[in-house]
Amino acid sequence: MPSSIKLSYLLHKLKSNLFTIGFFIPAFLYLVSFFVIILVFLLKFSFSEGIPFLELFSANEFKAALWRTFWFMGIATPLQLVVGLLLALLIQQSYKGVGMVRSFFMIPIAIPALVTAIIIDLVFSYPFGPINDLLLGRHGFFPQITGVPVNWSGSEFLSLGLAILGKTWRDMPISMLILLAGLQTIEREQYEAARTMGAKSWQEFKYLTLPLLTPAILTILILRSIENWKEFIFPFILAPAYPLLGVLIERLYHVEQNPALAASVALCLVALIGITTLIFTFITKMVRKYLVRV
Amino acid sequence: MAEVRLENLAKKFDQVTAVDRINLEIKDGEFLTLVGPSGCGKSTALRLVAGLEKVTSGNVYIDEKAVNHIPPQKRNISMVFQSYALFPHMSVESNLAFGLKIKRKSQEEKMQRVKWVLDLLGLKGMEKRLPKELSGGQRQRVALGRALVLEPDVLLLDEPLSNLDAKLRLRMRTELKRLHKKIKTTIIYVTHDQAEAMTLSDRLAVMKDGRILQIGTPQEIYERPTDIFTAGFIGSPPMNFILGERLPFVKREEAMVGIRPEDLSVSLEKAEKSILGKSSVTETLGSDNYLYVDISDLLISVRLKPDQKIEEDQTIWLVPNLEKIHVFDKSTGRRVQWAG
Repeated sequence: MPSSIKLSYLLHKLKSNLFTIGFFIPAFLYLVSFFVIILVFLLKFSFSEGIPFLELFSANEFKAALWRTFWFMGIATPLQLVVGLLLALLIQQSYKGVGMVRSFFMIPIAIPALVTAIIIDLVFSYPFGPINDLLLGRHGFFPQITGVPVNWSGSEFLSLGLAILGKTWRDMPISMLILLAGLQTIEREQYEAARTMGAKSWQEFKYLTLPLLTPAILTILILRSIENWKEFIFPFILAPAYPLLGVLIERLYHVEQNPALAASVALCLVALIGITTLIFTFITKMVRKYLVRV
Repeated sequence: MAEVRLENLAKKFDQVTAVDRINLEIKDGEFLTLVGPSGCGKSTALRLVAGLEKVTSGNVYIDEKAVNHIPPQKRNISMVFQSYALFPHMSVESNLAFGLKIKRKSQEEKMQRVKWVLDLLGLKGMEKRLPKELSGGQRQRVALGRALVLEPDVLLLDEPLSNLDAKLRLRMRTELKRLHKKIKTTIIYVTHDQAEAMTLSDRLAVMKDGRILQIGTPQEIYERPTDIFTAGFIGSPPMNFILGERLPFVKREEAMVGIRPEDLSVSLEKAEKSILGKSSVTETLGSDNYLYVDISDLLISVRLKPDQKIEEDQTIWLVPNLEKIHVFDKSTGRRVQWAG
């Protein structure tokens, strides 16, 4: 009987791979419980009252939040990459006290994001915050920049700018550490070889450091863009008047009591994250290809 | 092509003196080897010529131009590293063309020169491979090619063969020698392997503790080593050293006598001006056989004549070729004149 042979063969396979399968079970359960279940509920929620997407895409509030989030992600992600790279290059070298410098740059991640956001909010508060005091020339050592206090949270540009600033500052150690690990895998002799072949510092950076760092850079672009797409805390505290998608979800769910719409926004975010990841992967690959060509 | 001159060149790392006031002139088109045990400063000396290390004192001249303050990029040298230091993310072709790309050569010239070097080193068909897809010997050749393609004035080779297995090392040694005959670039070669140094070089400089002990052609150094260290370092199996007072025919106090294994012959009967000993094991290399002889507490190696066979534990006499023995002052280690 061919079918019984097949079955016994399968059983045999199963038995001999039991050990490997055993290791997969926890990961499998984890994925099912935290990923599939959530996704199913999300889908169920979003379609519970007809097709909410149509309603969503026609709503101005959603469109505005989508654009804001796009810009937030599009500015914050490369910014975090560049800042992380500069810091990694700074702390990679060996000089006296480099250990201290490294620890110093780890501080932001030890402070809760909420606390960081609130402190920024206080420092930039209107009309009597420390920064406004400074800009109005209330401290002798600093020249007067403006005659009227700046209403930071009243401006879309300024409030989201502050949110980007806070987010970048807080997450910089992560990018820095990933890039530092990448930098330390590059052998010193490769740079020396390049130098004997006539390469200047910027050429070493362009043709060696950058392409050899692409795995680390891609990791950062993907991780950071995901984080930035769904960012909540900084815009929630610093730019409540100009909600991003993450803030919009909270508002739809809590304030407007519309879980179906909130779930639809979340689904949109999942799709956007997927697309962004693909785009970044493609761009990094092309840049690398360009840099290593003959 | 260029001459290189080192003048009182020294390099200190904190308290450690790596290179101690060395003087050396390398002629145009010459193959010169710096040879010495590890830590003798030979690689540091090479890196000073390359400009990868800052000179502490003294001067490096390339074609009579002091280059101490000229960065490696502008010295028109090329260097091959022991680890090869190939760029792991670039194909063979990109690795070879890297220097030309930096020097902004036209695409046409790049491809032409890369093709020349691919032919020269037998790397055809490997253009698109990554370094990790190559064997050790191929990687070594890419590293060499990457340096040659720039047609440097001076080619610096830092132990380029030491990561290869024994057989491949011998083959690359021959290839390197043929290559030098063909391209006639000035080459400074660093190795700890005396056989490599002897076979490859026009001249070699023996280094120890940051100093150059002797400079000369392989023949000169082999035949007239100026000190005990050089005498013992060059040659395989190494020279035998016997205290002068144990050799009555060397009428000199405080002497250390060096005799190469091939300058001793074995006699089964008592002979004049000979050394009494007891035969021990024989090492058979095929073409040459070496007998080890016990003379009280010393083990002396002797090259046997072809077909000569000596049993173990026999009483024998070693007869030195008196014209070829080397006598050194025991305290200074320097060679002394001795008329046999």
